[in-house]
Amino acid sequence: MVAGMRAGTRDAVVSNHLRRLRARIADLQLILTGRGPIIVPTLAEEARFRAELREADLVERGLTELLPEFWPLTGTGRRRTGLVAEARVLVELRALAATVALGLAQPEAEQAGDRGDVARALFRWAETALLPFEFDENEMLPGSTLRYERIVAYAMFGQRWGSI
Amino acid sequence: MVAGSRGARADVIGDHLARIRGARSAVVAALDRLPSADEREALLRRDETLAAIERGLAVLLPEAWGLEDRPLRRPRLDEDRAVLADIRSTAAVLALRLEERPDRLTPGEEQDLAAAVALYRWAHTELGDRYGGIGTFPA
Repeated sequence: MVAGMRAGTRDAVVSNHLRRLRARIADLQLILTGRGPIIVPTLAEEARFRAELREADLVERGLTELLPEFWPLTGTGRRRTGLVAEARVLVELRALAATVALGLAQPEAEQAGDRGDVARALFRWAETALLPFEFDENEMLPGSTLRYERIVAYAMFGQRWGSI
Repeated sequence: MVAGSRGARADVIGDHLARIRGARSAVVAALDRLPSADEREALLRRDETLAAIERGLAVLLPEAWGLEDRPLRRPRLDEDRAVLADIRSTAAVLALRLEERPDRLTPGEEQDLAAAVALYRWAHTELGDRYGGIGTFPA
């Protein structure tokens, strides 16, 4: 756990991402039922959208079922948060998802339905969500000392400001 | 020193590394006493696990966390717990990154994956907190 992280901050960040994820799920449903703004021209593209929808469903369950077992979350928070807070929460979230996913993959672990798939999808999603923040792949590991001014600079301006 | 700080992390890793190396020495000593075939098999499996944990502590984590060689001191219990929790989650992230990679892993990456999984299992069992409803793993 990151020292000083408040439950309200986690709730605000997760709620914000959850809203965006649900909007994407709604878009995918419209596309796949022929009611969306774009037409699905090929079977391959349709298969890709279906795969994205399956993955998004798993991530949504991760955010609404798995995470609340560890963090108090409402999923409806509206508070604005800064990029540093968002990066901190995403680092914690990725670590939590990885810890659960790898634990459930061990041969001695009790069978837990598709909980492992949910945790793994949440990990993949967090990895992607952290891409705009990361200078290198080790900088934001749980035990690393985060350099937040660089995180913010990178997220706002891109890598050319990496010398900050 | 703050639990989980860079200095505390080096202290905790150094402390556990010494214990793991001690355990490996004990395995070697047991092998020298000409055990039965079954015992030898179990000892070799144990040594393989300990070797992977040792690689995780001596190579993987110092590289991931940017730790440098420095004089070590005995860590406090709260530092030990905090760093072990960081080790577990870091090892999990490193392992899943490798597992999720679409390309075939290189032999070095295969070793890193084995080390990360061994490190995760060891740290989880050392913590004994059943985090996420996951039980402990036999060493």
